Amino acid sequence: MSNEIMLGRSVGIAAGFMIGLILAAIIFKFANKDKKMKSQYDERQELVRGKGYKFAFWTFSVCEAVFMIIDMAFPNIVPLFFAAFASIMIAGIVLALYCIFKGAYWGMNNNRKRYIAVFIAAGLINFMSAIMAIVNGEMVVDGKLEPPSINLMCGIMLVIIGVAIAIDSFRNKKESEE
Amino acid sequence: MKNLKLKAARAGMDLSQDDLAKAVGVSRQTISAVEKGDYNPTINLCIAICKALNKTLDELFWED
Repeated sequence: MSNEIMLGRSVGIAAGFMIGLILAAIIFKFANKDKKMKSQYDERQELVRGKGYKFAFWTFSVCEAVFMIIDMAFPNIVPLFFAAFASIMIAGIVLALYCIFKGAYWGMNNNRKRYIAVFIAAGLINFMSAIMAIVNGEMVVDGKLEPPSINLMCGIMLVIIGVAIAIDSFRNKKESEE
Repeated sequence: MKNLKLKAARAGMDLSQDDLAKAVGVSRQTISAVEKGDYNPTINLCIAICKALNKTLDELFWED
């Protein structure tokens, strides 16, 4: 792949991230009951989230070390973008699951239904992009994973978080009925 | 240690955990954690809970 194409692709991915961030900020502003962008947590939730970030940090560090060892043992098997993104995703999943099961995922001002709708839409967009990449043969080229694999990872992450939210809300419903 | 006094006071006022949580501005899980003894609330939250339940700090949070 020529340098120009690679540069173009990198700029495209960076632009995609920026647009995604801006869109996320706008969507989350309207998903909150008080129309504020920031989610508000009570004192226990803040404490739990702090611990969650600690676990996520250690998870991220371990993932990075594992990918580094894999790269040293089998050079160029795992692309750099995949290793970097997978570490972020795995750490994000650890943070989300810890917060969900400790009752610190949803902020006081979050409209859960709107958030879940956003998650489902994001999941569908990512899975559709991944499926299109598989169909067009852009997921794996010359035995190497290509950037559309990020969409697949995002989709899988959203499914894991969605399942955890469903389990937690079932458990919560049962607990509040008691 | 479980806070049975808090649970009894809340039930005495016919409030659910959710109702009390809304009254003091925290999540239902936080009230549940305080009642189960899994979380030690700050003095600010203790005062807010006491005010919502018309009780004193001693009545709800002092160990006998």
